[in-house]
Amino acid sequence: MTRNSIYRKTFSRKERLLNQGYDYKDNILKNTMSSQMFEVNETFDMYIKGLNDVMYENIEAVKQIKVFANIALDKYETKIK
Amino acid sequence: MATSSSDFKIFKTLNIAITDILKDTVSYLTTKFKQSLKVFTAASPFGQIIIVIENLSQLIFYYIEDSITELSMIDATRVSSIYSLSQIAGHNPSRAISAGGEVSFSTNSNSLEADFDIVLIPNLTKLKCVNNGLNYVIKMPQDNIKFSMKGVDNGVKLNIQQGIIENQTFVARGISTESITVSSPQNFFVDNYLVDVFVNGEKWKRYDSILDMPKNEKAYMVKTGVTSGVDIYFGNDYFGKIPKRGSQINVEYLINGGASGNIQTLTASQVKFEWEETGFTLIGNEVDLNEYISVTTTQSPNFGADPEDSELTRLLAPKQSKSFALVNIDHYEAILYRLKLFSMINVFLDENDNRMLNLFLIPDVSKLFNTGQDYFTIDPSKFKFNNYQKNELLRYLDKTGSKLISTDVKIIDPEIIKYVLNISIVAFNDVATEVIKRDIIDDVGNYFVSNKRRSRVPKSDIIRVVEDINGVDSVSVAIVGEENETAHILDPNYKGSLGLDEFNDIIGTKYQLPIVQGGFKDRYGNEYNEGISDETLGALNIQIKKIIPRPLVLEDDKK
Repeated sequence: MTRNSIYRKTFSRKERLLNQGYDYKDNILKNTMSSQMFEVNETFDMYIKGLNDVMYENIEAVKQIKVFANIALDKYETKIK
Repeated sequence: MATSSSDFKIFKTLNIAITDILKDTVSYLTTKFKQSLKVFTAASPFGQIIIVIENLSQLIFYYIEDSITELSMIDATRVSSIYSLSQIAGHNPSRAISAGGEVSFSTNSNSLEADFDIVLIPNLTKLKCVNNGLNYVIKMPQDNIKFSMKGVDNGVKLNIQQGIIENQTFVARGISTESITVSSPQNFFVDNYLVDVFVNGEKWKRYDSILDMPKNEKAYMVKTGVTSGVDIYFGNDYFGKIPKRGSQINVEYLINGGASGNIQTLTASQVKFEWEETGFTLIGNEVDLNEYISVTTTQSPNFGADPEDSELTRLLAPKQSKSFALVNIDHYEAILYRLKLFSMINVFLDENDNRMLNLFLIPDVSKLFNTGQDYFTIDPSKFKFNNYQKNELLRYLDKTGSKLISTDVKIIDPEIIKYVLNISIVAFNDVATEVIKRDIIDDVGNYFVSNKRRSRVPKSDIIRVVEDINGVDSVSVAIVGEENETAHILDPNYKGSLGLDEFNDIIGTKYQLPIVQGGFKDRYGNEYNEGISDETLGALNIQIKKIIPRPLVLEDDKK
């Protein structure tokens, strides 16, 4: 799939992949900050979640370097370790 | 409230150091919110957030640097990266090759009490080797075998391969020359050959190049992955076939331990296996196979090879683009060296038929030395490959590359020629004679194990080896050859010298392998027994002619 299609999920639905690495998507700040910071109040949780998403996107952006160098992957692929 | 863009400017200068960026951030926040610096310590929530974000940002910079470093063949540190980059350069690095062997099955006494007649043993059923603790899988051409509990199938032989099978499923996008990346943390341990691809359950055929794929053939190509694992490529309908959009692509591959799966033993039956997985009755009930079927090894696992050395890959990759072709002698020698199984490799053209390449291969017998044997006591048959091993080797060569149609290869058995060494020494009195003898046996044995020359083994080499041993002052060596002695016994008037020249050097042809072992008589009636003993003559006889005090260093020598 060479376009970043919204139908991408219809293909990945039946995929059974191994060795995809640790799924850190929602756990970056949870694993790095004090547990006292969480579930204090809803606003603060939302704020941390927002920060978590920014950090996740920043880390994922690094994968683009690997994806661009890999002739076997299309440019919108994210499932690499 | 008047605002200007400078009010929102966090970073004052173009900083590259993370600590400077952090300092600017804290400084902006303290000014903007009129807060003390104490608010931004790790103990405060916002201070902690800033510190965590700072550390994560440092990691991101590290990831970026790492990604770029690992894309350069010269700077890459990870073996996977070196393999991947060499793949792009056109060199196909040899990944690990799993050790293969053969086992036979027979029912045991419990099978008489079994309440079923047939047990199904599926393909790729796992076995565990008791000797080395590694897993092996049964590899057969069909999905399963039906094994009778009545004993009629006893003795059935099946191939095994070391490793663990992994499966991954992908969905085809239906595009031309579609490629998929099969992730594996260490791509070099994905078996070099055992990678099978099934599209909607049908096994497709593997080719080495897309240009080899016939039009519309259900074909694929496997390459060591560019980022990790292996990459699978399909055709474009002119070469090969495009898998239909939405088809399920199942990739089955073996993760193996390379040479660690080899088991060197004198008798194959010493290698013991246990079943790791269950079999099934015809109605689908699970059966503990350890209870009913015993496994006997008929050919111990062998020919497993470690992945190509990464330094070698780094060296070869820029120069090589024809790594799939087996054309000349160098190509054969290079491909055999990768196996790391031989102590001697010599490839030469047959004198009678120049389309035939002779492979003169001597197994690395030193791998058997941990079984209580040494060079002088090892069975001479261990210097040759048996028929099964030869077939496996030829199969390996077939798999590794495209042989020229006009050439063929033949593995030739070495003609073993026995020699005996009689060594006399003058020793110094400050080293025990037992120690000197042990050192001579070790060093002379090592010399012959690592010796690559067959046309001439100079006596002076052996003298040099013995001379270098601590405690030896003077040495004399006499070499006695079985071939020569037999000629003299058969014809007492024979004046020539077979296998030895006037220097008493060992002389051989390219089909012969000289070894130092007893088991023959000389023309004077002396019997040289096998092995080494103090009481009788053997393969290596050491005589301490004289023991003298070590001379003091003279003043002149000191100067």
